[in-house]
Amino acid sequence: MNTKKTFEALLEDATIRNWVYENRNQPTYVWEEWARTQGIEGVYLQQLRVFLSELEGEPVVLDDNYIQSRVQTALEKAKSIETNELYQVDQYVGQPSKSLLKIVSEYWVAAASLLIFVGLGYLIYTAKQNQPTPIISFDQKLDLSHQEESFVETTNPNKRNKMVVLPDGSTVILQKGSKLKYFDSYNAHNREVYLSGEAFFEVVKNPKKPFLVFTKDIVTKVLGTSFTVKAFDNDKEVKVMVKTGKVNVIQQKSLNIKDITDKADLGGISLTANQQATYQREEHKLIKAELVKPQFLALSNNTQSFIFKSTPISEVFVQLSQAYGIEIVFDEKVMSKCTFTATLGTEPLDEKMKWICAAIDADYQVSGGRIFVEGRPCQ
Amino acid sequence: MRIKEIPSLQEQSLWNNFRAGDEIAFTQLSTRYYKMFRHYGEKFTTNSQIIEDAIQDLLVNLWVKRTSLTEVDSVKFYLLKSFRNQLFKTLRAFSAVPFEDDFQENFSEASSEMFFIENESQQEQQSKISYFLKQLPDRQREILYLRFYQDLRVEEIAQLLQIKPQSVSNIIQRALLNLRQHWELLVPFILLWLL
Repeated sequence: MNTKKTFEALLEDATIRNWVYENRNQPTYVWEEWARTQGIEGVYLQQLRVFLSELEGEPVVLDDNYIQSRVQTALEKAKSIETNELYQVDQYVGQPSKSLLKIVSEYWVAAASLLIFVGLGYLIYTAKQNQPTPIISFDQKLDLSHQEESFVETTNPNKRNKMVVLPDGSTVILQKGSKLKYFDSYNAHNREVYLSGEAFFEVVKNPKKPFLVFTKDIVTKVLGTSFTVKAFDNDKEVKVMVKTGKVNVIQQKSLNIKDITDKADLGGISLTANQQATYQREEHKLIKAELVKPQFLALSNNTQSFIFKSTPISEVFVQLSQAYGIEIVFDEKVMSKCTFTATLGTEPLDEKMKWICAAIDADYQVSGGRIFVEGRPCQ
Repeated sequence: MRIKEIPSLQEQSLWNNFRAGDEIAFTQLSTRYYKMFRHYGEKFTTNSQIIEDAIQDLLVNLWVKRTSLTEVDSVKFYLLKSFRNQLFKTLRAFSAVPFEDDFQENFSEASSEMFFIENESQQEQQSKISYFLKQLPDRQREILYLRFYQDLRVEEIAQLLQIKPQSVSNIIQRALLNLRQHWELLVPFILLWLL
């Protein structure tokens, strides 16, 4: 114990901190191996790992293209401020001179911040006024939604899938490296979500409120069905794969906002079960095709239903867990005698869990993208 | 997010080129530090629009006043400091309520799972540490973040928060001592995990 470094000493060591942050996703044995070579005790290793992770908190998930464009916008804004000021002073004095530049540089701060302030106010004003704009872009949508207080953003940096239950009971299975934004109120005008990445949707039927998935290039409209949207920002293609029901896919730029609620069909293309739409970003083309083979095992289009006949509850959870790629945490011992009989179909995972839990008198909740079941012993 | 200092010569020359009006250098610097701004900002507010506005204003201001900028020892430190100032300005402009620069509980929700959580005892630890950090005073939490996450030196933190370096060291010592006492309670779980 005496020869080993204390937790504080380890924490003060920048090389060690760097290693911890850079190898966060390595498997346990890699960590243990490293700790051995560094002479770090296992207890401290865990402490370091947990402490630094908590210090970091939520990671920032931002698309590189987004950052590029924001930096570009800033640069252009800055340059226009510079030329505007020179021009204005120019007119006033009549002739530009060296001393003029000096005056300009002294007053630029005030002027620039005033311009920015006015600009900002204008942006917010127009964003609020412009509700009936005919065409909406993904970016505009996102900007607008930023101002909604009831807007929730969730990301999944982990390897395993993350389950998200929307206010209307629809379920979203968020894949690794994906981001989802949604309205946190059932009373929202439309059921709109914004996706960057890949997710499987199981949508509760509600003909009065269409469910819309916005991605950078395309919009997917449904009334109640299950499907996958794969729209990572850097991929060349965006895909929508339908498992059940009917889905409408349209290019973002040809979308008319009025049509969203008024028309059942937005134009674009319609998909039914086992069909997929591919949007090719470079050519701006939207193509429809039969789904040859499901893209991923877990949410396979083959798994149309789950048939359980006096099936032990652990088996039920294992099957669901495998199908959705979502972890289900429960106490096997307590519920060892519980069984479940039913055929589960296309209803959202959230609803499936409700039925199962009602049958075995258990409670469940979704936390951190996982399902936790609290059960009681069955007779 | 987490920026390791790149070889300072390279960083210095980027900085100097930017000051001389090189747009590419400006773009490179801004892009490089963008996520770091966002990450730091998210420790103060959940409103990402405010953070984005603050970043935007900071970048615009940097470019416009590039000629009046001087050489700096650490570009990262200078940018963190400028961003912090800008963020507070933006926050004040947005809220009618008088604003105190609190490094809020926003700090790491329980859902933060960047690190693989393999089992429940580890999870338990995580939530206890998370609780520990949340109940620390804002300033202490920010200091720990700047020191151990952003790798700032004690003197830099002191300058940033306008307190004495000795106070920064004391606060860190006290927080870690606190943490250690907190941890004594956790040790049984950790040992269990090791078995």
